[in-house]
Amino acid sequence: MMYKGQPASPGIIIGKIFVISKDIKFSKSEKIKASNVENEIKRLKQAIEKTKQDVLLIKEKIISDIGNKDAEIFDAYILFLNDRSFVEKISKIIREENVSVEYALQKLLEDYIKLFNNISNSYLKEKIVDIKSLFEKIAKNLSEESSELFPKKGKWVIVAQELSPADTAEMDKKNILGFITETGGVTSHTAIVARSLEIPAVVGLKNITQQVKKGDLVIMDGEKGIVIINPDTNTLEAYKKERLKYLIKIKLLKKLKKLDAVTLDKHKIILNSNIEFPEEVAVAKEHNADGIGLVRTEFIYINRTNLPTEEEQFLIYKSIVEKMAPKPVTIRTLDIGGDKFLPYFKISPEQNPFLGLRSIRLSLSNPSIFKTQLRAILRASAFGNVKIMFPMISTIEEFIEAKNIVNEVMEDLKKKKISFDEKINIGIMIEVPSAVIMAEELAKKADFFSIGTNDLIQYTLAVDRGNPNVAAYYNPLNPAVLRMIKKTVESAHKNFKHVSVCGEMAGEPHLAFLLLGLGVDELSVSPASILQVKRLIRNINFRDAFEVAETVLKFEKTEDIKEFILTRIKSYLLNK
Amino acid sequence: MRYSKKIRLVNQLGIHLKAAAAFVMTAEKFKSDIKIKYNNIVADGKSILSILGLGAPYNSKIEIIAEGVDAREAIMKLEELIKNKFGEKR
Repeated sequence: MMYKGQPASPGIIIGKIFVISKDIKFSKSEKIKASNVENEIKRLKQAIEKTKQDVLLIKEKIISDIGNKDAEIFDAYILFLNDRSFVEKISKIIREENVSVEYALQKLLEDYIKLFNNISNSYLKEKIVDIKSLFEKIAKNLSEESSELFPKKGKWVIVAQELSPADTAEMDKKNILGFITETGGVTSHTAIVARSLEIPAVVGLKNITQQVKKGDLVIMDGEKGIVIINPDTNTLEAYKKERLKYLIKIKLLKKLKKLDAVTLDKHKIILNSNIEFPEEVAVAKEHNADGIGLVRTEFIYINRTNLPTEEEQFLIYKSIVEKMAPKPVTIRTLDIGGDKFLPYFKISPEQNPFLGLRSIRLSLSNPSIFKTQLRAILRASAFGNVKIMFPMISTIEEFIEAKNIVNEVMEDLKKKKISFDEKINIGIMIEVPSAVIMAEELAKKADFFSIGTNDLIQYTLAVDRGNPNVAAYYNPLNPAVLRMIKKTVESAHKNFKHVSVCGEMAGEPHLAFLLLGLGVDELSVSPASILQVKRLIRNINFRDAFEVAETVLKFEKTEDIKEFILTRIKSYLLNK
Repeated sequence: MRYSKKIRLVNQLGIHLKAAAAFVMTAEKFKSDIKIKYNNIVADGKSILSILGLGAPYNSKIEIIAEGVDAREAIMKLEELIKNKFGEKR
């Protein structure tokens, strides 16, 4: 059986499944005889004592393995287990309703779940896992059979509904090959832990714990989000080869971490990283990125119930900027609308959101939100090398208006004697065809350009990139797209301004090759793509990229362009 | 002595398990009786179960009430804890 979930951490692995099924032991018969009530309360007290001992043991282990900070949750567990009102509450349910301890525990847990769930759009909702995890430990100690919650020996792919920080802290990492969970997204705890351990993870696979059992053979591809349970021999053989290829690739890429992005003919290419959430800064640094080419500030605004304050934003920007200093950090102002929305900031429904009130248009029509963000960015600019970038500029007036607002904010900061970088660079995302056509004029006013290829392709070719019916029309190698990029680069260079590309196009090695040939000065790619783009750069001659770009600009058909580039790229990378 | 103070929760997670534990550990250092009021529910400031039962999220306003010999100091320390986001990063 093949399943497709959300890819959360790359890697290909073949192994056996260990299911962490936690809530099973709760479901013990509920009604008990009145004469058994005292016995149930005794069982409860014993289970609590036993759980306390367990928790103390885990705590010691974690302090010696990782450090004090990660052990704090276990102090909270102890406090909870020692709380007199805990025994009182559970005993009361047992007495009044004549039910088993298991049932009473489940009831109290459900009260907490209900309470936390009723708070919409809050992080608190996610933190219910901590309480659940503690209740599961108690329930485990109520049952006579001593089944293990986590694997103690052997190597396993962990399958669970969800994993709490306490769960992952408790697991012996050397026993884990990968994670598959029912809930969670790419920013979930499971995903973050998997990436830090460099093991694959697939999340958001609904009901997977019901479909598998311990010992099932599983193939997982964390980059594609694919999970195959009990594969046939052919599939297995195919994936063994895939895994080998993957291991070789990783080994080669790791060697590149500390090296610069320099072509064979010694042209240094500026290779930046995009970041979508703050944890990625560490990866960007580790892979020796030349800077952050795009901070997607949306992460600060989503998953919450109200607008972030200036102070909150300032602290986040400052921490990114300080970590990267003296390398540059390009912060893009809020880019929502289209397909990204904020639950607490409603805009009236639109027929055509991608052509609607989105991105810089939204910022300009809500100056107070815009100014708050600009103040936070400007204040952070005092702590390193910051650039501001406006997304989706489509007219000259828009850019002038946005820049005027920046000037207003600057004046205000000056008055209040708050320091910031007065010479801060302000650039434009080139994502709309009208901006390409007016690029020469825009280049006179902006300090730099950054091409957002995803939207530029979508708007140039009039293709909705999320619509499968027209997916075939969406192609970065369409000659119209390439000419758009070429015109942007020429207009910028005429005015001595740099052009960066920060769309997905820059992260695909063969497309990155072409972009460099088209004269793009900087590439900004996701942290996961840095090493493979660096590998490409270190294996090409800049002159060749230039020639290839010149040749394909004369082609009329997408297919011809693609074939020509792939043939040239292969000759470079085949024997490396 | 009885003192009270309204304070806004500034840590993003609100009062989750770890934050509640931090509150109890601080509250226990004082002789005063300590209560938290939120949404018209009053919780015992020295019981982690009781505090968790408030379900107080980020940016909500809670009231701390302390009654006893060291009430003033208790309020001060608890306010400090909340303003320091219970020792959390965000």
